[in-house]
Amino acid sequence: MILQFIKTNILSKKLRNFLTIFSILVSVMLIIMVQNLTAQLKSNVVENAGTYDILVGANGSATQLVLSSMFYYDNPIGNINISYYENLQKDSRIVKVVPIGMGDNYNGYKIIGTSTDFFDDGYELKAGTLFEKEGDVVIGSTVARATGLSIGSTFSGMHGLTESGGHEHADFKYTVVGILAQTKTPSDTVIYTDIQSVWAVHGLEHDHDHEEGEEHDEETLMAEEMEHEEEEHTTSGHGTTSSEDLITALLVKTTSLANQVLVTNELSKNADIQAINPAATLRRLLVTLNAGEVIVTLVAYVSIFLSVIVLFTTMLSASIERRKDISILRALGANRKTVFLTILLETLIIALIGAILGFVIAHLAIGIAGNYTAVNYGINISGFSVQTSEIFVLIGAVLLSVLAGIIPAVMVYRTDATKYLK
Amino acid sequence: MINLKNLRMKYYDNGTEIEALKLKKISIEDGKHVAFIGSSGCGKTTLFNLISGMITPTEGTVEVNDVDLTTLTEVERDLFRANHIGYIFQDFNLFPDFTALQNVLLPMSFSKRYSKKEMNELAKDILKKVGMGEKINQKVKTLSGGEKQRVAIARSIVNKPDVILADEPTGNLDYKNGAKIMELIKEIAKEEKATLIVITHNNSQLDMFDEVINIEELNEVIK
Repeated sequence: MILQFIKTNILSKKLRNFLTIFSILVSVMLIIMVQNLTAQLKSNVVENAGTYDILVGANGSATQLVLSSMFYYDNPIGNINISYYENLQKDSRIVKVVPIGMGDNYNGYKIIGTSTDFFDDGYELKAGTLFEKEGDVVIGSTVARATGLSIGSTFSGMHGLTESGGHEHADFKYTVVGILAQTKTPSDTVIYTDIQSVWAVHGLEHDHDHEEGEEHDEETLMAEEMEHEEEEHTTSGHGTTSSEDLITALLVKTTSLANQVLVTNELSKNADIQAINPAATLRRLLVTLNAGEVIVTLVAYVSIFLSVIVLFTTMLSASIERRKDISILRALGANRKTVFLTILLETLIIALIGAILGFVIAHLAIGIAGNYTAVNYGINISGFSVQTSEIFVLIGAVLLSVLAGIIPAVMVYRTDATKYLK
Repeated sequence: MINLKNLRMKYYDNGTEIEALKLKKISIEDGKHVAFIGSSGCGKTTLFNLISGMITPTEGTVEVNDVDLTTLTEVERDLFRANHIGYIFQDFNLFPDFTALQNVLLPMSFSKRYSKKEMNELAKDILKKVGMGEKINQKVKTLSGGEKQRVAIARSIVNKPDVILADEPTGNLDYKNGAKIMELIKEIAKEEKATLIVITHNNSQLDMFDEVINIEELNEVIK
C-alpha cells in the first residue's frame, strides 16, 4: 500500500518528477557514455595495434605512421626500401614481417598491398580465398557491402588514397577473390592485394604516364607529381629510385621482448627510417587525448551533482507540500519511521528510474554509435560492453540521491501531525 | 471505557509556557455516542489528539480500553491508534488521487491484522455498507462532498475500532447531506459497537447523542 502511495505521489506530479528524472538520466548517461566510449576506444585501438611489436616506416611522426599503416586514417609519411623487408625476413629473431604498401583507392576505399601473412591473426574469410596472383584482391566486409563488389568482380583503382582528384588506372584490373568476415576493425574498410600488385600498377603507370593525353586538371596533375617526387625522395637515401619495390611500412612480430628491443635499436640506427612500438605510441596518443576526457568527465560529474540538488529541492518542496498527507497517514496509524522511509523510498525510486534509464539510453546510444563506427571506420564499439566503473557510477548516483532525500525525510519525520489535520 | 484524569496540557511558544488544557476528569462508557461542544480553541481537538494517542499530556492519564496511553511509547501508540481508533475529519482528509478502495485500504496496512486478500474483501464490504459499492474504483477527487465523507466513514471503521472520533464531520456538507451523514455515522458506530465522540457546532444535532460534554466548561484554563 505504501508503494501504491509512492506511485500515486510520483504520478500526481508528473512534470516535476519527469524533469528530476530527466536531469538524473542525462547526468548518468553523460558519465557512462564518456567512460564507456573512452574505455572501448582505448582497448580497441591498443588491441588492434598490439598484434605487432615493431612498426617500421619512413622517418617522421610516429603517430602518423601508426595511424596510416595500421588504421589507414592518415596519409603515409613516405616509403622505405624493400631491403629492410628482405633483411628482416631472414632474421631469426623475427616471427613474422608483413609489408604494407599504400596503393590507390577504389570509390574512396584504400587499396593496401601486403602479404598473405597479414591475415594470420584475427581474420576470417567470409567467402573466396586469399590473393594468389597479381591483381587478386581480398576486400573488407564494409567495402563489399558498400560497393557491391563480390567474388569475381573486377575493377580499376583510382590514383591516390582518396576518392577525389586522381585518375583511373584503367589498364590494370583487380579481381575480387576473397571477402573478409566483419572484424569491426579498420580492415573492414580496406581492399587488400599482394604488394606485387601495387608495385605492378605503378610500374605500368610509370610506363605510360599521361601519355594518352588524359584530361586532368592542373591541380590533380600537381598533386600526383608531388606524390611521385615524395616517393623518390624517401627512397633515395638507400639508393633506390624505382617505385616498383617500395614499401610504406613493415609490421614486425619478434620472438621475444628482448629481441623486440634489440631489433628496434638496430633498425633505429638507420637514419632514413624509424622503428617504433605501435601500442606504446598509441598509448602516448591516448594520454594526450586524456585531457579532453578528463574535462568531459568533470562536466558530467558537475552535472550529476546539479541533478542531486534538483532532486533535493524536488523532494524538499514535495515534503513541504505533503505535510498534510503525512499527518493523515500518522492519524491513520503510520509511525514516524514509516513516513520517513516513505519519503526516502520515493527519492530512491526517482533516482533509480533516472539512473537506470540513463544507463540504458547511454548503452543504446553507444550501440548506435558502434554500428556507425564499425561500418564507417572499422572501430568495434559495443553497446553491450559494460565497464566496472559504470556500476560505481550507478551506485554513486543512487547513493547521492538517497542522501538528497534524507533532509526532506527528516523534515517529514519531525512533522507535528496534529498541526495539519482538520 | 475512556477515562481522562487530571489532564494538563502545556506547550512553549518562544520560550513562554502556555497552558492550553486543565481538566479534572472525563469518563465515557463503551458504546456511548457523545458530543463534544464548546467554542473554538477550548480544547476539543486537543482532547481528540490525546484520546487517539497522537500527543500525550504534560500531566495526567489517558485511558482507552483500560490502556493508559501515557505509558506507551510513540510507536506503540501509533499501533494502538491504527487498531483501536477511527478518525473522521471535517475536510475528509482523503487522498484525492487514490480510489475510494485505496483510501480505505490504507489504514488496514498500518494495523498489520489482515492478509492482502482479507483487506480487499473487508474494504469492499465496508464501502458497500456506506453506499459506495458502485464507486469503489473511482478516484476520490471525482466524488461529491457527501460521497467523500462516506468514504472517510468507511476508512474510519475498516479496522473495527473501539472508538470513532469525528471532528465536525458535517462541517463541509449542506444541511440535508449533513443530517444523512450524521445518521450514517451513528448507525455504523452502533453496528460496530464502537464508542462515538463527535465534535460539533451544530446544536440541532445534539439530541442525537447519549451525552453532550461542554469542554469549554470543563477546561479550567478557559474558565
